[in-house]
Amino acid sequence: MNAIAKILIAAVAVSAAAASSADATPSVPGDQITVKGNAPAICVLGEWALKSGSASFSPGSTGVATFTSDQLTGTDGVSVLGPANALDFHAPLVCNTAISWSFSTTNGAFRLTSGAVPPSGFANQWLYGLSVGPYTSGGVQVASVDSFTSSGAPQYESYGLNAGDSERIAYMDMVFTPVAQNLRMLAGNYSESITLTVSPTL
Amino acid sequence: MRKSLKVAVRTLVSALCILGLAVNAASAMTVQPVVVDLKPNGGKMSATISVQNTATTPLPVELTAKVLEFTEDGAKPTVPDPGDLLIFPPQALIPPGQTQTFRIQWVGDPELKQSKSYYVTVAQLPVKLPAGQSAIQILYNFQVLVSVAATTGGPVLSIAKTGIEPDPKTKKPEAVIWVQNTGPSYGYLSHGKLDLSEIDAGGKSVFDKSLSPQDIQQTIGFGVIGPDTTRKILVPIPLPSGQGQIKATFDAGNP
Repeated sequence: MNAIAKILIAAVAVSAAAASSADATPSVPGDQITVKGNAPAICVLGEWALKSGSASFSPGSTGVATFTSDQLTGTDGVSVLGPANALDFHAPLVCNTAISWSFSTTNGAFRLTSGAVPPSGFANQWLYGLSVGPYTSGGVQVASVDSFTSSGAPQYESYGLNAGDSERIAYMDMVFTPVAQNLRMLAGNYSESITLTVSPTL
Repeated sequence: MRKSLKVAVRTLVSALCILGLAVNAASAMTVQPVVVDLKPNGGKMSATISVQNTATTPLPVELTAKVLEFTEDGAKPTVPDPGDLLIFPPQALIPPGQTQTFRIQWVGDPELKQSKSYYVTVAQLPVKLPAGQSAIQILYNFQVLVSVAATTGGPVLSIAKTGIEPDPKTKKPEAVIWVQNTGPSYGYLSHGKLDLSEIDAGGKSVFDKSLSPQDIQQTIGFGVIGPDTTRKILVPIPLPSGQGQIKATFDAGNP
């Protein structure tokens, strides 16, 4: 049985449960029946996918985009990573209640994991531009999209949406654009984590 | 009878529509409920949050709680829960197609004088990157509101004052209400009925709107007001004039 079939069965089961919680009022003449139910506030967060961009991508609840070494530096060790290597991620988001969303970055840079400090003329990180926002299924932007360039420090931004806007959202889109730099890069592995958090609007 | 049947049909259609959300996103993490109400003692000291993994890969998640502080602007997470909420299990690896239930239990003071609220974050855990690779990780988290009522006394919500302010985005004039909660427990504006009207400079009524609990949740959100707190709420409905006076009444109904 696939997942959709299971969900459909669950839908029927919950509907039946709603029906079974009906309050029948036989004391009222005229065969009046009142059915009560409470639909819970719920959010469905989909898997991250790479919409465009050249990186090896592992989709899933945690999306991982991996750059090859020749996408990062040339044979002389100088950075070649730049706006041409921009990555566009998206993930479905469906809620039936007003939501707020925020994102946070771990490093604020695509940074060398070893933490080594670069000598003059070398660099241990790439800064990047980040554009994040909610969209409808037709690709129409819902509310504002936030764009900024990282500073090398962790960053946190938060936004609120009313229910009307929340219900129009089909997916969140995030564009990661590395900033080009003509610097020799320290050898090693580079990483960054970006977390998108969805909350019910209080 | 027609009215009752309409209600019945509407309820069942709503339930199916909501469940339809899950159908539309087959590969996803579904979190429900997103709002949990607990009592400090008795049978409602605990509740469950279910996280469903309909993806094709295992889903590692961790649940952590932060204390919410209520201010005039709303609520903001502050410090980690000092241990008043027991979350079990705190972490789980949810297999594809499975649902994991997490129990949230109040283990703090059973004689709670003032209600407390928390954000419980359902966090997807970062994966360990393969050795020798440079990568960007994108994670999705969800926050669930968990509130624990005071042992005695519920919310007492009233409108303290009103005003008109431009919407931060559209710049159109909108009503602002200051909702006061003098009770020891948190309350929801969306559990009552809100009537708004605008009187222009000539004393003429130019706007009249009645918001049901459902309307409030759709328009404003849950409208949580902390205990002994006054919260300023912008009602995102454009007014015909920015020069009038706002009259607002709130009927808490039968909580």
